Amino acid sequence: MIAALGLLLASACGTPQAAQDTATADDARTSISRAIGFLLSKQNPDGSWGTSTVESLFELTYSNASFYAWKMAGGALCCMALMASEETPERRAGLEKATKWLLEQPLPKRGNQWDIDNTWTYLYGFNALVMAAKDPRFQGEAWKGKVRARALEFYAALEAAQEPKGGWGYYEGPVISHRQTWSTSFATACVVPALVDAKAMGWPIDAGLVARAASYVQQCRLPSGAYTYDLGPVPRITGGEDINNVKGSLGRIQCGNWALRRSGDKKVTDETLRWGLEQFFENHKFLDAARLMPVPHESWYRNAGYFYYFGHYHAALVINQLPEAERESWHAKLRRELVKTQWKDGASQDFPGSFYNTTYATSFSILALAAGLPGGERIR
Amino acid sequence: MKLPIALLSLPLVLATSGCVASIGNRASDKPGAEGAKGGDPEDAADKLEKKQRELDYAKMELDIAKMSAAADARESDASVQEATQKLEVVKKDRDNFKALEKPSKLADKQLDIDRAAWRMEETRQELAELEQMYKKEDFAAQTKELVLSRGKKNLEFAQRGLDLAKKEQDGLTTHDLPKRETELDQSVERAEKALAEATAKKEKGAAETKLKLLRAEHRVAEAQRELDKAHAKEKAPDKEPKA
Repeated sequence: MIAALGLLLASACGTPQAAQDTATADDARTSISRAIGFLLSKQNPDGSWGTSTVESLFELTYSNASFYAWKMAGGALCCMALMASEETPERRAGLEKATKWLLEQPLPKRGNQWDIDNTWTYLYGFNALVMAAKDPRFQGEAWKGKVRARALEFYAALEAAQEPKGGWGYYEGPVISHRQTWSTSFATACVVPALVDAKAMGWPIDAGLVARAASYVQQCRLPSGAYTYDLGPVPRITGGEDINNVKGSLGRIQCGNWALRRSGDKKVTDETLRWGLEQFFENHKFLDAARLMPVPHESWYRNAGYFYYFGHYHAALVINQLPEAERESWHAKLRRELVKTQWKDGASQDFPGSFYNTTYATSFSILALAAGLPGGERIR
Repeated sequence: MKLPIALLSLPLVLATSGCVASIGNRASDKPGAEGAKGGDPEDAADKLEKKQRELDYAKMELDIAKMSAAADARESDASVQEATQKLEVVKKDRDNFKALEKPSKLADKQLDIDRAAWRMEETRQELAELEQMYKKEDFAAQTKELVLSRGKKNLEFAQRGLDLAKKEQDGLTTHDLPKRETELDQSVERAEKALAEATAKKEKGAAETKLKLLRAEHRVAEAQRELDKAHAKEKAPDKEPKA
């Protein structure tokens, strides 16, 4: 009876969409429109999203401070999503409120002796404001100076936190110290292109810091093409289903390849990018299986639910690094994986938890879809 | 058990003999009792009755002796069986120790040493790699020093862990295992002696029992003969009724 019910639900909800291998640009626009509508409907009057407190039993072990940090990091991603979508007066108003909140609220601090998730705020706060610095809507006197100043505050926090090997992480490493001592490939890679862009804009960015970060990501790249989760003195693969296997690295491959390509690494060729995308779609079932699983890394190859939209966003950015003629076919495949997972209310989610999980997932989905629409090449 | 029965039966025997004596005395008081040929018929009947009782007692004592013999045999059999089982157990313990426990403990300790040695090698390799990575650029010197100091301490602990594992192996091979082996050998020797003792006791007990039974049987046979003689005397032809 349960099986029959499952079949009925599958046929009612997913089969027509699942039967298609690709989705069109119109599908993407519809999805973005619904997703933006969701975000704007949930925006707080002060311009933020969600709360600064834990809202889920799955997240009780984190420090209290991390929920404010994630609220701000999620808000930064919402700013990016609103910047990436076609403008309407309502969206513009929402974007300006959100950006103002991001510019004016205090920077989060570390939560406790191990939980330093405030790094995510520095990473995505910086990414969002570098994007804003390039956005025509923030070139006026009212915005430009504030955007730059706040971005450099995030940068200063990153500079103070960069670990000796060059990366950034979100949990403490072997030593509890002011400067971090543990990093991950993807947390580091996600900010490298923004650092490159900020440097190109003439901001006071230390070339050594950028080189160290890029070097960290390079060192995480394994001969298999996968990226290790973190950089240890000796790479470890502890078994056939290790997270550092290609199938456990589907999102990190996109993020790492994109970061290295944007930092000027000549070893990351078009062929490298294509190979990574092929792996992503060929093994996509592992991301599907992990999505919404409540225990981190409980799925095959230690995939976690929250790899899903992060991986798809960076896959879109990789696609935009390829020659223009071949992008659409990749974007069409990518869209399908995003559209099929959107909730009826327009939101997207890959990990059950507090509301910031919905803001980041929905924003990543919007950004990934927008990157595949005309004009989307600016999202790179 | 036998002594209390004998003591308990003594008053009965005394009372009975006293009664018999009293009856005899009373009979001799009667006029005309003296001088009759073959004695008083009542006195003869008493004698027969007494002989019969003596035979009954002897038979009962024989039954008791047989029961005691069976109990003694069961007890000595159980003692021998228990000693045999104890010997089997300690022999198995010793054999298991020599065939499995000792080599397993030695292999386990060797595994500890191999692991500790590999952990030390891994720690040494990682520290060397970390030092190489940190040498690349003059950056975050204080944090690098903190991390490296942990790595150096880990290497030191790994070395101490290996040294300790080697010492433990030495203690195991030169003291713990030989001591245990000696203890098990001694246990087997003690159990073998206990079995031999139980077997000897059983044999001695069997001989003693045989003797007791023979004596009891002889007493029955003797009592039977006495009774038969008394009957024969009673029925003898010269014993004529009084005129």
